Amino acid sequence: MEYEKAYVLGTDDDRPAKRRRIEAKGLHTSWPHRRQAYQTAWKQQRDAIETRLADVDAATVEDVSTFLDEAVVNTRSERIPTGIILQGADGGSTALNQIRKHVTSMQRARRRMVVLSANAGSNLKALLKALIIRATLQQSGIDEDEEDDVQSTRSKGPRLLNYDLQILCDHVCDRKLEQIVIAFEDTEAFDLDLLSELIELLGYWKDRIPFVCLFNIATDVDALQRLSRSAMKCLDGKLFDVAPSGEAVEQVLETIITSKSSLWLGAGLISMVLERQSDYIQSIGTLVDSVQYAYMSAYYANALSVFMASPHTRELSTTHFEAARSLPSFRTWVLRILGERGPEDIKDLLHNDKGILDFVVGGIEAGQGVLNKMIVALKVIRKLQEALPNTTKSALSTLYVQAMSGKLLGTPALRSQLLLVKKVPSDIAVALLESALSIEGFESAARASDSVQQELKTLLSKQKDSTQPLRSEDDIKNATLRTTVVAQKVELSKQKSALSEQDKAYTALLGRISNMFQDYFADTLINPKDLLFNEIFIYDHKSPYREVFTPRPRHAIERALASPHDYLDCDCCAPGHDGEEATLASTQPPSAVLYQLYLESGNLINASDLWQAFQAVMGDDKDEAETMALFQRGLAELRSLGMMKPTRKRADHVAKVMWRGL
Amino acid sequence: MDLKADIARQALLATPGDAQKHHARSDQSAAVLKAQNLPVNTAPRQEELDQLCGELSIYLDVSPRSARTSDPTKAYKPGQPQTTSEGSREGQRVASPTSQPCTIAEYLENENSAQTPKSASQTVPEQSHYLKHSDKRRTEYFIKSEQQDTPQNPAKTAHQEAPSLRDDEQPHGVASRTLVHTAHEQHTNQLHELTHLHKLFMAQQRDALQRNLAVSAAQLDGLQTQLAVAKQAHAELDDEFLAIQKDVAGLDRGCITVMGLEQLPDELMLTIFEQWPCREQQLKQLSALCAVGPSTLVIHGPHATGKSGITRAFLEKSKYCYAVIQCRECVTGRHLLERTIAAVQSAVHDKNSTYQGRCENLSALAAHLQRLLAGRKRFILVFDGVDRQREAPPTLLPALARLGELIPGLTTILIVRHPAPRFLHQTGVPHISLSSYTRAQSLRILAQEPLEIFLEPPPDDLDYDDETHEEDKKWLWPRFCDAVWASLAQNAARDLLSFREVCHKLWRPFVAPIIKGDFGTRDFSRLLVSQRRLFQDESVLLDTIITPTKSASTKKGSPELPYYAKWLLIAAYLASFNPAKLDALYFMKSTERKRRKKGGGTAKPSNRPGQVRKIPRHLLGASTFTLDRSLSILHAILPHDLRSTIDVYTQVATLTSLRLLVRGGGIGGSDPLEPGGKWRTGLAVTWEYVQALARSVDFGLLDYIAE
Repeated sequence: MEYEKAYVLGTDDDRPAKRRRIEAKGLHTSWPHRRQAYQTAWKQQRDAIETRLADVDAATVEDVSTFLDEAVVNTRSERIPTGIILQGADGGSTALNQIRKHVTSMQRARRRMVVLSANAGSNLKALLKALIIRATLQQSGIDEDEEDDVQSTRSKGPRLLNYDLQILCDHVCDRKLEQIVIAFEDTEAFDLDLLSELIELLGYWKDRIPFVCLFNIATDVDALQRLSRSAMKCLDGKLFDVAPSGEAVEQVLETIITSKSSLWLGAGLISMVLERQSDYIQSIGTLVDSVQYAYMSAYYANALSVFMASPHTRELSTTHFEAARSLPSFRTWVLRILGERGPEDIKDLLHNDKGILDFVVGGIEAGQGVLNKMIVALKVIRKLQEALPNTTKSALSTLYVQAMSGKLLGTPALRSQLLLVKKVPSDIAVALLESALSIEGFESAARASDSVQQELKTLLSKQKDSTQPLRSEDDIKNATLRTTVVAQKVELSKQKSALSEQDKAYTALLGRISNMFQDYFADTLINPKDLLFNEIFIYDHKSPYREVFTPRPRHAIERALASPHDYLDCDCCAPGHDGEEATLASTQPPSAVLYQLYLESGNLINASDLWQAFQAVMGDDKDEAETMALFQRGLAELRSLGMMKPTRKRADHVAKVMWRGL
Repeated sequence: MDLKADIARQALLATPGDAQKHHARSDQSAAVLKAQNLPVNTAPRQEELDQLCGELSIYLDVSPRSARTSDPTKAYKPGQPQTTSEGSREGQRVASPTSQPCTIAEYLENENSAQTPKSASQTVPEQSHYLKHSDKRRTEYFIKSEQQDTPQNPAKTAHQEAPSLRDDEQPHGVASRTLVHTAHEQHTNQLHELTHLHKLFMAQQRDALQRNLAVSAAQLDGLQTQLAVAKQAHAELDDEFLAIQKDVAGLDRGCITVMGLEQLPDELMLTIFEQWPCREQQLKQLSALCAVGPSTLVIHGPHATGKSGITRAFLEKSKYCYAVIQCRECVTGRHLLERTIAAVQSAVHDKNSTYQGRCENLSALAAHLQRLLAGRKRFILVFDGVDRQREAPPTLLPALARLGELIPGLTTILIVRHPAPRFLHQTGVPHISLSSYTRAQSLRILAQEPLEIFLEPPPDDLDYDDETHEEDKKWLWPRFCDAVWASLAQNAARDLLSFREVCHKLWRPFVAPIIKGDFGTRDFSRLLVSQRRLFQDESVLLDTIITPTKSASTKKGSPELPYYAKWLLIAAYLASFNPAKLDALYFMKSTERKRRKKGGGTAKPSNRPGQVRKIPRHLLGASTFTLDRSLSILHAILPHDLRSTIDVYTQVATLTSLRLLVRGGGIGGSDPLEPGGKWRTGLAVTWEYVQALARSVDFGLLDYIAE
């Protein structure tokens, strides 16, 4: 293996026994349709997310852009104008990209932006090279005619070293550039000494090259304060905040939820994605990726998703209709209908493909309508929280997760919220009704609330003389607590303070308002799992996401070595009948045997002991040379996996460096 | 300076214009009387002359210091408001009429005219033969004195330079016109000589008179004709004298040629002096040394003392061909050499060069320079800050110092901060030292550019015009600077640049009450008291990238780390600052009881400090740990189970890229695939930082940290 550099794969003429299936059969026939459906659905979603993301950073980007524009005009300063952008740990370079767009779009070819990252070079020379190349070669393809000028100027003087900033200086003079923006993508990752040196050098050239620096900071501004003094003197900084990533996540999720997409993501998946987002990651990119993967799995893996694209009967094979008929939600529906109305309606659905197609498409639309109403209800809840005193506005994502799992209606938070409604004074009640009515989609419940609002207005108009708002009877502030001592016992009694007639009428009205909201929520906040055909338009599978996005490489290796039977599924080393753990056996791969021995030993392993144990496991009767070869190979494999290494403490020992289960 | 001509002129001046009047008297006895009186008369004159000379020298000494802004040749106006305490001294001296500032020529003329009438009265009524006689003697004397003088001549020129090189003890403010001053000295010397000569001459004269008294009457007739001749000769010599006088006056203007070396004209030097105050002496040294043209010249001094500035200013004004290489802009030693060649090439305008940018080493540099500078009489090559050159070859400095030996006419000026002794491996290299500016000098330099008090012009009705503003700021600014120096800069910002920076930073807040109208522009003491907080706050001395006012408005707090990143960092900190042998005690679930026991342990802690003083662990640097150890600690301290997915490892990578975790120590520390690689917490992970992290995840850090 080690003597040849390359191999030619010789193909045998024998055709493989297993042939690829060219023609699609059964559920596979709908694959092109589903792909089409996925593409349209995801494109719509992606566009919505992108516009939303642009809005999230828009303020910062605009600030930075104006800062850069000002720096172009104001070139007198001796120090380098510096923008410090505070971003999260991996709060991607979206903001930087937008800034770059801004810089290059305006007055093209007059400004340049160079993005430097720490891996551009480990010393000053390499960094300068990267900087000069990126700054000078940018957009050279656009204006070909100017290319010759650069060559000629370069050949005029002496040839410069490729890390000489004079090249950049000449370039700036030739093209009459007004600004060179240097963006440090990952400031913390730079060696501080190196960065200081680079900045100092840029500071020396500031009088000839119009530099501007941008620093992307993930942790703290203090990271920059550790630069050398002379480097700090070269910089004149201004701080910019990028919207915190939590907010961005919320915004993106809101977009995903509220966009008129046909696919809905289930509570389990969303909560898992959100949890991972807050636990480990801060970038929006992964969130968008997760959502895209969910869409892909929903359309590609679920053949019934083709119904969401409202296809024709002839485009679908009968298998699809069979599959639709066997859906659990359909079955429960059929059972219910059978009990209520008898088999007449159902017969058609069970036998007629056209009938079931229309029914499924209609069912999906109805289900989506219900879910849309549920989202509106979530918005109403948030509006209520906004209007009510002493309540915090909960995030839409948490409400969504609760609603999609069908548990929102019973939550104590919602109940206490409705109770609070009963206590509010009239001025808040008016605002509350108004904000609720302003929500688009609330119209269905609007009729009841309209009449309530009218009554409230009439009540208020009667009460013109007083500036005090009407009070509710249920409000505790309006009751006084009275203590009386009767027979050495303290009795507490509540005494309603005197309320006017209008207040009493108002209290009754508030009761109606509260009931109205309660009815509304009870109507809209249903459990989505009860909807007919929810399996089609709600995607809630966690395992594909988990497998793809959070693999466990170390665990997999450890498991493979510790219990090879799980992977090999061979008869020879199957665990015993009574389910006991597989023990060491000579039939197991030698590295697996060695690993299990390794697990049993201490921090330092005597090689000779290990060899003897290994030999004992492999069987003493075998050829020793062969066993030794296996032993050595196993050791080498463990070493290359990073599990052990030679130690200098004792020459004949190896050190154990990996522990299991981490 | 031709001494002979000078003395001749002096002698002729002794026969004044009113000789005829004296002659008309022809009273011999009177002449005798006067001749006898002469020693009596000249002695007080001599004293007066000495006094005058003394005063003149005092004036010359002091005037540049006191008149810090105005040209010393300009007459000082006593009525002008005084800006410093020195001003009053100045005023007093100016008030004394004797030391009216005047040019050398004027001064000499005054002296001569004051002296001549008296002496002339004795010399004129000489008889012709005496005149001949004395002429002969005089010529003899002249020859003698010439013989004496000629060897003196070079000594004198040397003397002319010597003080500029030697007189370190001279106050810095004085040095402004040393050249002019030496010229003065020369003249006063000559005057002394002349008076001495005069005395001798008079004594001879008296003898001659006594001897020839009898003969003189007979010869009186011939005297008339003699006198006419003498008068004519006098007129001629007078013209000559005027010409010489013009020469003397023109000393300042003309180019001085000393020993055949050309120095910069004084006027140009004056402008440079003005541009770089308090550096006159060094500039003169530089000028003189450049004129001599040593192969190497070292200019050294601490940061912000004007090393590069005066060199550049001098070279720009001079007509030398030169090139300046900024070593700080050169990334490598090779880069320095390439840039040197490029700079020399552009300086000598070598258009048709075949040089193709190959200058790998110092020998190549020497060869290229030899070719480029072939046939040039003088070239000055300045390496600015060469001691701080990055990646410099070890032989760079000695080699640069020897360039001048290989290439005739090349002077290499090395500008360095703190040269080590014998850093050029060569002796006899002239050094020019620039010391840090003293308080007075810094203040004087800063006072040259007062900042504006009012940024926008005040409303018209206030009757406050630009001139008053100009005056006010000239009045207020130096006082303010002095206060800054005394409070802050004296201890923490002694060099000129940082001093100026601090002053500029504090000026705006300082004059804010004036703009508001709470104080007048001249209420300095009250203003100072009310604004004393400014001078107590030392944060102004710190360098910050972000101007504090801006950060205060936008400061929101740093971005938060993800949840598990916080735990990981805490675990890493514990792994870094807890000894590994105590891990079992702190992190094993079963040892809960043992740990609690540790608190009220049996071993009583003694109050006496132990033999070895222990520094708290968290004050020391982070020690290394293996990744597995910190991951185990993470599992141990987490309140819930962790499903260790790839996200944990990604988190480690992210923290590493943020330098919160650092790979470190041991063999193969830089290899990420090395089994059992070591890690450390980064510099930013301090005890306070981790405490804040632990608080945010609600973790009792103190229970787990080993003290």
